[in-house]
Amino acid sequence: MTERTFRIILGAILLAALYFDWRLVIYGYMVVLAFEGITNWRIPTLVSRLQGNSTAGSDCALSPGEKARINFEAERALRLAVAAFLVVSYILFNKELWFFPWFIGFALFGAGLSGICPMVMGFRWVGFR
Amino acid sequence: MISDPHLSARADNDVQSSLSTKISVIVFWFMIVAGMGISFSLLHNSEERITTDYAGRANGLAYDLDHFLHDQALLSAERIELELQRLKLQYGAEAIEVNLNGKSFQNGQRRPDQALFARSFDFHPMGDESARGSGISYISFAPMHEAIAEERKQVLIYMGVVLLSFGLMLHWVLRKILTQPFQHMVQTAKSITHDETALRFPEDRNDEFGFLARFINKALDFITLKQGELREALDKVRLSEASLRAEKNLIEVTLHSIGDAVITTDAAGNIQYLNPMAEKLTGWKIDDVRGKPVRQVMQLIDEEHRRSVENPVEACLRDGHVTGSVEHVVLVRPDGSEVDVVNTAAPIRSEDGGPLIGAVLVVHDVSRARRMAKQLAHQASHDDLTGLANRREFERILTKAVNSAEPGSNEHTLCYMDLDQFKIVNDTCGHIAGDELLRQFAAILRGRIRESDTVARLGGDEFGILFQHCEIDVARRIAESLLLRVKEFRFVWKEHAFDVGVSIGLVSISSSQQSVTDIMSAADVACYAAKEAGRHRVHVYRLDDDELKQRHGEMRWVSRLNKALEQDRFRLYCQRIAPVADVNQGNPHYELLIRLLDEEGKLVPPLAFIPAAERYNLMTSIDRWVVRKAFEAFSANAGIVSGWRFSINLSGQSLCDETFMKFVIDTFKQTGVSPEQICFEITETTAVANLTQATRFIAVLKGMGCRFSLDDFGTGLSSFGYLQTLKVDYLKIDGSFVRDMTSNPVNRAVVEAANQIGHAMGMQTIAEFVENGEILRVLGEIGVNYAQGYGVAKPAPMEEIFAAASQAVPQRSTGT
Repeated sequence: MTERTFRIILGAILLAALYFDWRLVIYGYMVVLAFEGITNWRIPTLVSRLQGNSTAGSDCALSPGEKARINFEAERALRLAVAAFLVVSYILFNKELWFFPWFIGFALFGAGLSGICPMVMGFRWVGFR
Repeated sequence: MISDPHLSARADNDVQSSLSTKISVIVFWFMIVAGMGISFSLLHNSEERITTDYAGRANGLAYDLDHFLHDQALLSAERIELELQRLKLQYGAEAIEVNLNGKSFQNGQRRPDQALFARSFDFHPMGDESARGSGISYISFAPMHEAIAEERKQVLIYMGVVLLSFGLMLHWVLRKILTQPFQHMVQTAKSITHDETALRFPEDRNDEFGFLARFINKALDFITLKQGELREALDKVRLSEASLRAEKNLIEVTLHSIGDAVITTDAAGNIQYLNPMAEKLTGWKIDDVRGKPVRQVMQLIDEEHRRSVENPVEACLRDGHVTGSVEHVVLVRPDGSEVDVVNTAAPIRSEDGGPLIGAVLVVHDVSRARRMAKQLAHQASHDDLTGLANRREFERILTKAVNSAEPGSNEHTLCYMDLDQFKIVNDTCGHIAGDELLRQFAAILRGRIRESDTVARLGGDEFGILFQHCEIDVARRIAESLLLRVKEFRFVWKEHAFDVGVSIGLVSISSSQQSVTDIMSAADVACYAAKEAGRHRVHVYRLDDDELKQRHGEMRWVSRLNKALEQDRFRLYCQRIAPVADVNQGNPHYELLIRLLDEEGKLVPPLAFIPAAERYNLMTSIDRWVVRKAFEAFSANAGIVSGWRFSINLSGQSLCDETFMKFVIDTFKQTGVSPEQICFEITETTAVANLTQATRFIAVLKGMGCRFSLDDFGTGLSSFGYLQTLKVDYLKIDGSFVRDMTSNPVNRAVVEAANQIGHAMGMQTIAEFVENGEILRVLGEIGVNYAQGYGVAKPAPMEEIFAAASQAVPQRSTGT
């Protein structure tokens, strides 16, 4: 499984959960993302390893290169950021930021479809691996 | 085509995340922003709009309910319930409650958070206007926040799906029309950069990409063409560079290995380069003299006058053409040592006829050549044995002296000397002793002259002194003092000691009109006169001198003999050599004698001209004439002279002439004369004086069959050892012993001794000057083999001898 595919799945799950008000799913979603971000046991990687592939391709336009100066992977940062955004927008300030989870959902889905993840690109531009 | 890996790698990375990414990001964010904007726009005032909607629906519902109630004849609860059920579903209400005249009907659950709308109404059951009733309805819709949330969901999902689809479609379209062709071009460009130079961008599109592709392809074609030209030019440049490098290396190696010193300067004459030979020759290192004026390094002086000479580089730079060095230039090194050099400076121009940019100076060390030239010049002008000037140098100096001579003011004197005992020393002690005598005598001469005088060895034992600016009387005193000094001198060689004498002839050089030849001849004559006068004395040449007149008479013979040779005025005579036992027996054997027919037709005896011929080197010519004429006569009369033998006298000059032997051999071949018929006579003194040549001559011609006689034996007082060296067949006892042997017992004893020696050495003996029968008888007693003289036969012309013989032959053949 590639990160791109995983992003499609993530986006679709989040949108579905928002649409159907699957609150538990969204809470679990946040936990899984936080777990992935903290432990770096990312699902695409684990699935790829189970499938026999060594790594899961990031398939992001901006590959880690000479700018990587922070020893922290951009994909992990993405998980943590998404989890944090969801916590803030879905739990803490849902009335004011009701749109933000939807935005995250569409952004993840669109990133998966287009293969371009602006947030990962941003993280990599900052210096994450 | 473009193979810079750094450029290629950087381009690849840039391309990877450039256009398609940017387009995707732009589309992505455009969709996000657009979706958000549209969504917010759609959701703006949703509460008010929902409230209005709810109100409208409540009104409609109330109207429908009012209408329902109008038509009902009987208000049954069941029907009202059903109608409420229908209306709730129709208007999306969650609950409807109706109070009719105190009766309440409700459909659906009412909650506190629901949006509640109350509508009152009047109604007339069954259309009866009199039966008027009033009612109120409470219509509950879904709570406002739920409605808003639902609307938001609907809007967002709708917008999400629409914009996502639109975004993907837009992305696909952009990819089709922009990214793909662009990436195709990029891929093509990458391939071209990776040396697939034949690849070209697709030109099938009519948009900007097509235009760009055509433009770039054209540019690529042009670049490829130019690149080919550049590559060709580069190859030529590389070849040229390699050639230049090779030339440079060659020149450097040549300059480093060349035997000449090479110095280059700039246009100001400052040194730029010295090759190793130049460093060695000048004694300077290039690092020490680079940039310094060449004249500081090349200090050139004239060898003779020791004055500085102009450096050729300066002359070359000034005049602009090749400048050679003057003769005899010496280079002075920093340590003061000197080297003989020859140098040439040539200008260096930037191009043909261009401005001077420097000069190259080539310096050749000629020390060895100049030393050898001096040595050769010295050898050419000096005698090896004595170190004195030789005859050529002496005559050169004499010529200068003669040219400068003036009567009374600038007179010189020539002194001609001949050692008196030289031959005795040579014969007695050998040539080495003779050479040593000459050296010691030269040392004596050198010690008796002034610096301005010249002493030279003119020949074997002949010396000359030129007393410059010296009158004849002074020269005579010097010559006499020299005689005294020589008289005091005793030459000692091993156990032998010799008194050496010298005969001196003096000639005054007082006029430049005199010729050098005349002066030398006069000096020779004076020297000869001194020798004739008793040796070891000085004779001054005077025009009225009787002795000198005789010598001059001899000199006149030279021209007469030359003319006689030219005019063939010599005659051959024959004198018979007969066996002593019976002079009428034996094969005819004649000695050829020569006579000169003078201008008046008179015969001149040989004694009159032979001394002059010997003195003036004409004997070889006379001997050649004799051999040629005799052989021609023998060949012409071959039938007559068959079995005869002829003796031909040879001079010492002919023996020493390298070409004479070849002449004789050639004449034998040309005339067909048998060598066995010929016997060559060589005098004892000639043979001994030219022993090496005589031995070789005898060996070669004896090998052909010729015979040899040793003439005038007994007069030379030579060592008998020579006889063993000279392989002759006959010993001719000198006539001076034979002539009066009948009356002089000493001479008879000499003849007997000579005869015994000859016989002991296997030779046959011949006695000369046998003038009568008495001598012939005594010779017979002694045992001499042959006799020659007037007592046997007088000399007769060869033609007469041959004529007589030719008459005698037919007589004998006819028996008369």
